[in-house]
Amino acid sequence: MSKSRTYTELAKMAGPVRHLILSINNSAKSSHIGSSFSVVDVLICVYSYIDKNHENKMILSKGHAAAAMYAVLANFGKLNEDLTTIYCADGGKFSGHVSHFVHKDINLSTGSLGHGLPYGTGISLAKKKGENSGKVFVIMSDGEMDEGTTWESALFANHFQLDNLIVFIDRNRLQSLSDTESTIKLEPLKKKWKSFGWQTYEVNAHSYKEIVKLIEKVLVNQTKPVCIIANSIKGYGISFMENSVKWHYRSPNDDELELGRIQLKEKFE
Amino acid sequence: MRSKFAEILLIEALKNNNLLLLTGDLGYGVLDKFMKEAPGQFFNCGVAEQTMIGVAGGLSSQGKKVFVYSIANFPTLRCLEQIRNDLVYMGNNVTIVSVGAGFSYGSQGYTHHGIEDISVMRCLGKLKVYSPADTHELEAIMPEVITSGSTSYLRLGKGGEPLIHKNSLSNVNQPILFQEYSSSSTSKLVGILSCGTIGAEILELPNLHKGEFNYKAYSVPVLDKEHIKEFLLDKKFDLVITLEEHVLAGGFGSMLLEVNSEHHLNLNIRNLGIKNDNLETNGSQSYLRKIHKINAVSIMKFIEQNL
Repeated sequence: MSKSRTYTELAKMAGPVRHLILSINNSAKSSHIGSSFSVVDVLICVYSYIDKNHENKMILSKGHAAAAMYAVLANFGKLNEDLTTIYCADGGKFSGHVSHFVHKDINLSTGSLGHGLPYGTGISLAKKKGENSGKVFVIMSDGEMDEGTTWESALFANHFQLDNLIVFIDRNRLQSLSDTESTIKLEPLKKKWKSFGWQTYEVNAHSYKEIVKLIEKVLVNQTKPVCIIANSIKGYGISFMENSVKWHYRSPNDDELELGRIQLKEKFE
Repeated sequence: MRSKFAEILLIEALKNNNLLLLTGDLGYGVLDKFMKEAPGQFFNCGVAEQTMIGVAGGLSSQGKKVFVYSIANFPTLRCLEQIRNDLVYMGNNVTIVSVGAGFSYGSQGYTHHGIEDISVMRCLGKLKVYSPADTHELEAIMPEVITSGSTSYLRLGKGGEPLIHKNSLSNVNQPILFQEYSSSSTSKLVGILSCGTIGAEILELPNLHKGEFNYKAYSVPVLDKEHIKEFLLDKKFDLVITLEEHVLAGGFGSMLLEVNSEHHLNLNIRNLGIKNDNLETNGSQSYLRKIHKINAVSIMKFIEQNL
């Protein structure tokens, strides 16, 4: 069990983790940097609760944000490897979608959407029926709301009253081809989850203070499965990547890497 | 067969509270006793097979042994990616149980015919496929399935399948001889290898056989290439016939062809199974076996054509 970190300490990771994500996306010529930047602050906060107490479990269901997952583990001192050379590299385990072979705190390999919540629901059920304490955190994309398994699991978790399950939805409002509302309309999303019997909250996905305070609140008064809609900005931190579908796919070239580094430095230091 | 499965599983569940049974809202009249006597180990996941497999994976990751029960294609094809990613790749200890092998639910229509499952499940690699022909085979398989630490697939018939073996069995890993005919030592010897409840058709062969060839019929309830290889190396057949209530592509017969090729056995193997035709025709299991040419009469003709 590691020491507890305050939200101000966690917030100091926002810059370094983004720098690492930027670098490895450049060196590996890999995609999904926008998705990594939208979810990374939630990921840092949630992971701190895994690091603090290993009875807690987490699944990053939006597996395409693997760079963020690995960069967070690296910043928490969990990886021996140098991510800048091994991410997406031949012969390595650090695939472009989350691999459970990378670290024991990765409970599920993901990349095909709609798998994380059913699996996390199973872990929650095992904990509830057994003697295991702790919470189960599942971090999803808003595009995953299109998947049938999301709503199957929403029914299931409510039916079995899984009061140890906490879902974060990375609500960046952009999916693969366009914005979520012109793809398959999701709103009113919070009302949908509420109507499925979940406790629902909204949070600013880039405010460490808000995220940590909300998690602390949920930890003491959870009576149902919890859904937190984390309102985020895809590509958050680098102006030319923000709110752009293009940066779902594009990897930064060397000029964009330099420009990105300058912007990250200005914003987070 | 499904009732025998439920009976054995309940006995084991009462000894081990880590053993769980999930159903996709099926098992009326079959799982009732389990529900009643081991209620804390039974979960109806509703009509949501994909989520059920994911939940099973999550449960198993926390140390549970999980059985997932449904019929025909629902716990296999419907949720194939969940089986691939969440169970096999994650190395989870889950047994998928599908009731309704082949045309067991014949008259219910094509949606309920389990005829591609072996090939689809078999290609997942680290997943062992079990396909018992009768309750004797099932009883011998269950201890291995229960104690196995990995993902497995148990393909069951429905109910009322005839026993092809006279006695209970101890080892089902090797093909099991259940019928033979031998008149002359100079006649050609045919090895018939059947997989699953279709083996019952072979029980009719003595009534159709005119004595032109010798044969030995084996049932193969465990699809294990290494054991099949050892068996084939050990026997001397002039012709090997495989029989399955399943499409020919990728199934049990294909597995034997792979073994034959991979180990340069140069055996004369011919596969009898379902071709993807006549899909619009409905009927009972025995009727569909007849029109898909896998019943006893067709087996005999197939051997005669290939000798």
